[in-house]
Amino acid sequence: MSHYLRFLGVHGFVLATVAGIALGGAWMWLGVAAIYGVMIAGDELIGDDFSEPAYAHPRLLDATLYLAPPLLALLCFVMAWHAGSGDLFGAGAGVQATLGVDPCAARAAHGPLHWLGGILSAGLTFAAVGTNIGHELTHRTTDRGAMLAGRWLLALTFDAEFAIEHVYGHHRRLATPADPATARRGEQFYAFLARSVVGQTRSACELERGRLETLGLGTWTLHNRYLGGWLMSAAIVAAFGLAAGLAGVAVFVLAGLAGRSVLEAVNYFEHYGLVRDPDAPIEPRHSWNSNKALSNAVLFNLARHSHHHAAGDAKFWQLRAYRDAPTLPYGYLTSMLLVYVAPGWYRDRMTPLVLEWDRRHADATERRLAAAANRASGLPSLQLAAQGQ
Amino acid sequence: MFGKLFTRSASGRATVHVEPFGWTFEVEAGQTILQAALARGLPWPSRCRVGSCTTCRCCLLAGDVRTLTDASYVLSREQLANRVILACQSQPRGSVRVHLDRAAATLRRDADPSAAAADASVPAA
Repeated sequence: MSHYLRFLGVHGFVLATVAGIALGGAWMWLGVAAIYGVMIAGDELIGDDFSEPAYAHPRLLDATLYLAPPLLALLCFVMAWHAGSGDLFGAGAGVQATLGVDPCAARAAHGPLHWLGGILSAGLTFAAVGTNIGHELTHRTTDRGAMLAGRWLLALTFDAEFAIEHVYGHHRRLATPADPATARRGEQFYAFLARSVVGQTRSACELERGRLETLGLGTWTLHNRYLGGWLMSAAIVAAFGLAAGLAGVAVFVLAGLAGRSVLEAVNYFEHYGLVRDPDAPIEPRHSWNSNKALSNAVLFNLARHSHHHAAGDAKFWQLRAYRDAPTLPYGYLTSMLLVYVAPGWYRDRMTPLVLEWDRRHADATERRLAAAANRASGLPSLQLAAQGQ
Repeated sequence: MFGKLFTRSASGRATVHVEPFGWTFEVEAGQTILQAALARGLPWPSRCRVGSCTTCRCCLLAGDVRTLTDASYVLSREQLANRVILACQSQPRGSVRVHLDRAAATLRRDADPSAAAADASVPAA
């Protein structure tokens, strides 16, 4: 039973973010504080979980994914209500009548610093729930419902094109210089963030253009899934504008961008410094793996990344532990926080792990590629190692 | 729709014949051609296994497959017209016959396709 229930935990974080924004004032920081606090402490205290349970009722697990769209819609509604000035759909009066609290008083107490917490909370929630579940769903390319729900979830972070680039680009070019979403040795997070966003956008455009040409379809039509993705995001922005004016648009856009940066922080540490011969198959060693129990429960086994890339069509509940795969030093939220606030420190923290990867995991071709990457890294410690490689 | 009932055996399996190697193997319901081939130790070339690198491509000579991803992102118009399919994204609907490029299959240095054929062949009947 607990094997099923653990995948519901992430939705508790959505409710925390919703409650925090609704309560207003300093409570607006509740979402971001709860997610980082619980996840960092939980991964430290609970540690690893290598179990690979067989699930008799995978449909129940799928159902937990589909809780995301309504819950995130609720979050968007609460954001818009608090960013605006009217009483959207009479929700404020309804809350006051049933719960006895006055949302208008909470709204009057919001200052810019409170909103910073609200935006960071919403952005982190968009990413942890929207992007993560959007990723799981848009891998299910034959399931139209999953693709539609997944693309709307990704549109919250202006990234519906992820459904194109990730499956048809990143999974093919993984751990090669051609992949914008693989961080290079020596590359700091904020440099990677810019390169990755630009590179993935370009790749998604090229892939979609190629597909439309192959099928003989026009660029400026609704067949264009790249444009379709941006229309989804534009529709959400317009809804915020209608509901809450410019303040609503600003709050949503900033939260969406914050959420997008979370995806890139995760991309950064999932493959940092790994190399592969572009002609060789993708193996578990080409991803940094983690079996931290809480990270995997909350992120639908995303941290079991080695198996995900070795078998991209596996559903989240099928992902195996791969104990011997290269392993991240920390859980996902701990890694994210370090990547954000101490990018240089995190990069240096990975140096011995990357060098261990060269010794333990790389094959002969990869050792040559790794030596070249070490020389080009700009980091003295890696360059020194390259002399002996 | 009914054709599927007749061409599949009762267990939901389908048979794949691979030219020019003469391999014949069964694919379980829900399995892709590549998964079934690799499970039997056949040296079918593959890299990404999510339908983007096209390393596992082969030509569908007879029969029909269910395609899991949108191959128009990765195959050319000519390839699509010539019924090129991706083994990693194709589930056979009944028995199929495919052609796998001999040069592509021998890219895998760790396996010899002609040797593997002897192990994998099962009576077609």
